[in-house]
Amino acid sequence: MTVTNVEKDPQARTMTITAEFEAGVERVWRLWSEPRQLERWWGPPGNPITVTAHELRPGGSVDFVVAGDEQRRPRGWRVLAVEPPHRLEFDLSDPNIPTVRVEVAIAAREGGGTLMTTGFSVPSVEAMDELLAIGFDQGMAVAIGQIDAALAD
Amino acid sequence: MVVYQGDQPGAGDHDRVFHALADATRRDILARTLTGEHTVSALAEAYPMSFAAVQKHVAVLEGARLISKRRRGRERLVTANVETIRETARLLDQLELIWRQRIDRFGAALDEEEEDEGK
Repeated sequence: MTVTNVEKDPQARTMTITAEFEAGVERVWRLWSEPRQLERWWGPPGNPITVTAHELRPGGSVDFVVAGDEQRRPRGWRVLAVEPPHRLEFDLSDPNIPTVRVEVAIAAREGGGTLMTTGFSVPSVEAMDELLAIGFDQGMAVAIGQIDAALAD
Repeated sequence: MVVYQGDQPGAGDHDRVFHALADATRRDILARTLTGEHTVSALAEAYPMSFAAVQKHVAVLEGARLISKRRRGRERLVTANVETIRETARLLDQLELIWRQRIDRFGAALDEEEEDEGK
């Protein structure tokens, strides 16, 4: 397992995933910065992506389509900051989730190898906060408990 | 637990959910239907607007899969779809699952790259 740590803060709506690799910083950076390399790991095995645009500069876009998505819904990054080979920041859009801000930090690990941290931030969506509030205000916890109990039978 | 498999459109089409929740009347309708089934007529009586307006709100909620409707004779009964609500609230969990898998593939691609270079 390459992932060594996951921290989630639901209040702040953030998550940080730390991973360690034997490979050096430059090789790790290439997997983000080169479109053909990005295609090798971004999408799940059954639905690989094809990168259709790759502008790694502030304000640039990285666009891709997913195999198996017949509607070819647009997905990709709006790049915010790039500091090769150590830092990359972008807003990630995907049809299934709200826009997520992603911050990638790549650093040499003491003794060799690379430490990569990916930070995620979900923006405050008033509707989502309301949803969570509704849940508690209206006893959703009770409703969920009943559903879980029914499913457990 | 919802298992996120790649890019399948699922009960969590979040843009629709957030749009549906952006309206106070719709949030109120959803809150009422969390605790039991209601006919659309009964719901409509609670709000100072036309029946047609309430029907439209219900339609938006249904489109976001926040509620489901069933027929009982001539009545339409509305219930909240708790799973959609739960899924939305568990966004960070979903993100974690996606990215754990993604980073595993990242590690595998790194290893393949090393082999390609004949090291």
